[in-house]
Amino acid sequence: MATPFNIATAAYGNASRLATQALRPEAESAIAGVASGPNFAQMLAQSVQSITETSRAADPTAIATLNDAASRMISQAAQPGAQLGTSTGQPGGDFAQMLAQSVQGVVDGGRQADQMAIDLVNGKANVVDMVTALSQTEFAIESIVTIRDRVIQSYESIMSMPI
Amino acid sequence: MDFNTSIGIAATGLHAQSARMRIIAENIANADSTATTPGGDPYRRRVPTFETVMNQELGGRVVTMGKLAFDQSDFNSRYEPGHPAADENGYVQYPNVNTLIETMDMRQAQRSYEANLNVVSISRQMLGQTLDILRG
Repeated sequence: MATPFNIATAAYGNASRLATQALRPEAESAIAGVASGPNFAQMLAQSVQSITETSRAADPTAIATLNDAASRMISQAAQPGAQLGTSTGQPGGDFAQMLAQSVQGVVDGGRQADQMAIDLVNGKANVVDMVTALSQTEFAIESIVTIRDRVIQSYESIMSMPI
Repeated sequence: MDFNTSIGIAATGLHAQSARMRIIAENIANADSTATTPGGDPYRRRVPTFETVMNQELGGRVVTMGKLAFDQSDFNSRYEPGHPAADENGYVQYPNVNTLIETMDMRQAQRSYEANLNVVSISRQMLGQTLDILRG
């Protein structure tokens, strides 16, 4: 179903993928500057691809498949964070865990809001409940996207540092 | 988060006011509902009551619709001898609903609803403005 929330979830799936991509170099190796060069290029390529994917998602079937893919990506994205959280020695593990938790929170909230929108269409839910659930999900997505932007921005400033 | 709590509390206010509108609608719709048997009681006006309830999940005091009360004032009687509900003197009991009072109640419900909506939108605005610091 081509609800605005589905499109937002699809866009958000790409966002969370980018955020985990941005985290991975830090978690995988302590010498982030050496190992993450290609990863960053890959990340950029993926972001370009995600933009084209999102813009291509005009027809409902594409949105549905993209939505599925996005939810799968989000659940995948939540896993490394949980694994990182157990290994306390790794730098950035706490942040990854926090991110994974907030991603999971957004996903749960989003599912609830989506269900509520469907219920509303079927005449079972209340407009007020639907609007508050959607607005909370929207805010959660907005905040996590802003955090992702900040992480990428910090990463870029580190990468552009002359050695 | 406090802002989410205030949005939740305002949402219960919206619920309460919409329930109040439902009762006003009932009153106005039944303003002419008389009994069908001679000397019977017509529709009695309903009065909404509101209650404060502590909501543990939200962490705040929210409002809910209390028990439905009935307006105990006298019915209006009109002289209509041909009416099926007319008593032996030819008077028919009409509901104690005054459409002007209901209109004023409706206006009040509308204003309260608006006030709660403003709480929601200002809370959202404040949250957004806080987040804007990061975007700078």
